[in-house]
Amino acid sequence: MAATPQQQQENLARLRGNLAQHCTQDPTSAAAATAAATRMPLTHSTNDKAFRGIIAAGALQSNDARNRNSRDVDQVLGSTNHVFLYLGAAAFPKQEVAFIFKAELTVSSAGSAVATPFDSGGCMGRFSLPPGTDPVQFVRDHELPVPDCREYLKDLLAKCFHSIESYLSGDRYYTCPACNATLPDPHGLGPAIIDDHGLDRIHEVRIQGHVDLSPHLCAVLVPDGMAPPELAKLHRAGVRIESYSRPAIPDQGQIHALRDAATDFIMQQYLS
Amino acid sequence: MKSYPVTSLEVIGCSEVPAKQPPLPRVLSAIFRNPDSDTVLYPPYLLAGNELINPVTAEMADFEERVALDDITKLDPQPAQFGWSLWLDDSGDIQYSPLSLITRNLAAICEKHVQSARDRIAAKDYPAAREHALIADAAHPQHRDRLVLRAAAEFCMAKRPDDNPDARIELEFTEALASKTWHLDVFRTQYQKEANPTLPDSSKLTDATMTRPSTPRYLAHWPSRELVVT
Repeated sequence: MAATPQQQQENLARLRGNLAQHCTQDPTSAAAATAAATRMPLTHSTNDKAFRGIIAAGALQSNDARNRNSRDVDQVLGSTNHVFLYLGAAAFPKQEVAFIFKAELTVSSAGSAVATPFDSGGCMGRFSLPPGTDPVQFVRDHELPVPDCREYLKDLLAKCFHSIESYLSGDRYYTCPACNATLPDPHGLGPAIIDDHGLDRIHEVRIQGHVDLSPHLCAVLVPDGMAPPELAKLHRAGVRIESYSRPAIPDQGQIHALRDAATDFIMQQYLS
Repeated sequence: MKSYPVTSLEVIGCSEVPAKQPPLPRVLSAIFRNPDSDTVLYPPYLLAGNELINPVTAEMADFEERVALDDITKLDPQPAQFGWSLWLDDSGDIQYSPLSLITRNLAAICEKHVQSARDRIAAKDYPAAREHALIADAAHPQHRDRLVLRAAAEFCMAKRPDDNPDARIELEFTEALASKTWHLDVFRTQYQKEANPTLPDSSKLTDATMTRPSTPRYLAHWPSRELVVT
């Protein structure tokens, strides 16, 4: 079970209160952070097979909604009936297609969604949690209400990222926007053993049940050569269909190709 | 930074479950097993020469769990080779081959399906023609004719709306895809010529006249003029 609405509000207040200011804040960057946190779209990334299922269903569906078994991680976290999105770019590794939703989705899903300031599944074995921490409790202690989670995103962008783009593209460290010093993780996570693609620094939004593509889907990013005719109706409905190039060498940069395309798109369309 | 010599590993799977209908030929990401520690090495990783750098490591139990969830594809284990990769052929089968051979094979698959698309258009089997064009597109997204043939098939289907009432919308979409690299008028001339070979020959058009001036990726506009199917 996710944290209760009251616990989520308490988490939000605590996290915002804990966020220290490293240097004197530049008013310009604070204004940019506010604008970005307000407009930041949500992204769901997937692979070829699931992509076709989503187009056919007209919705992103949770594993429960698809009668599909979930991984142990999701069962432990109680997220088997959740659709996973990031508040930002397509960060999850090795995916090919990204669905980008307008910021309004967080408003319409209020009451059926919960956010964390990191990938919740990563707490189950990938991230370095504070010693002695129970991973499930750690996630619960950082669950935030939707759409109020954008307030915390605004604080983080203003105080812990040297640019909006560094949040979107998954720079390795939190950094002070004024002096560029590397900052400790504000949630107590230890240094990653390997670069985990910034999944410990991107906000996750989990929405119960399903997310209809209409009316909030604004763009689909597909690799060159993967734009099936089934996308035509989305295109007709005003959804942008954007293609990006896969890397010539397999694997090298594959995650970055989709994430870079999503970052470029979001910066151009929403944050410039 | 952790790295592993590729040739000390086994290929045991593929990091996706490719859709089979239609199969979209392309290079795929391999999942490796490190026999020394019996651990699984997932993408994303870097391949630099014979070194596999910074993979995501997991236990074999995690691999089996994800296979059971249809999240990844399990393959018969085989020794990993330097300069080789997994790829999906046009039958929907996953193969492991040298990269140079994959490049040649994908180009050949593209040419084969371009020709098949033309043949199907001539035989008035337009849905099959479009399917061949889609496969050609996936195998070689830079091929000059792949979108022309897809549009030609959709153009013919749009003239027979009983066959596919959505064809007009799909043709409009294909034009939108083509608009990033073609002048729309030239593109329409080309696909109408493919759809109806008795039209005046436009083969004297050169590549230079067929390619749009470079536009910033996200400023490329969709065609604004109304689509006319005659």
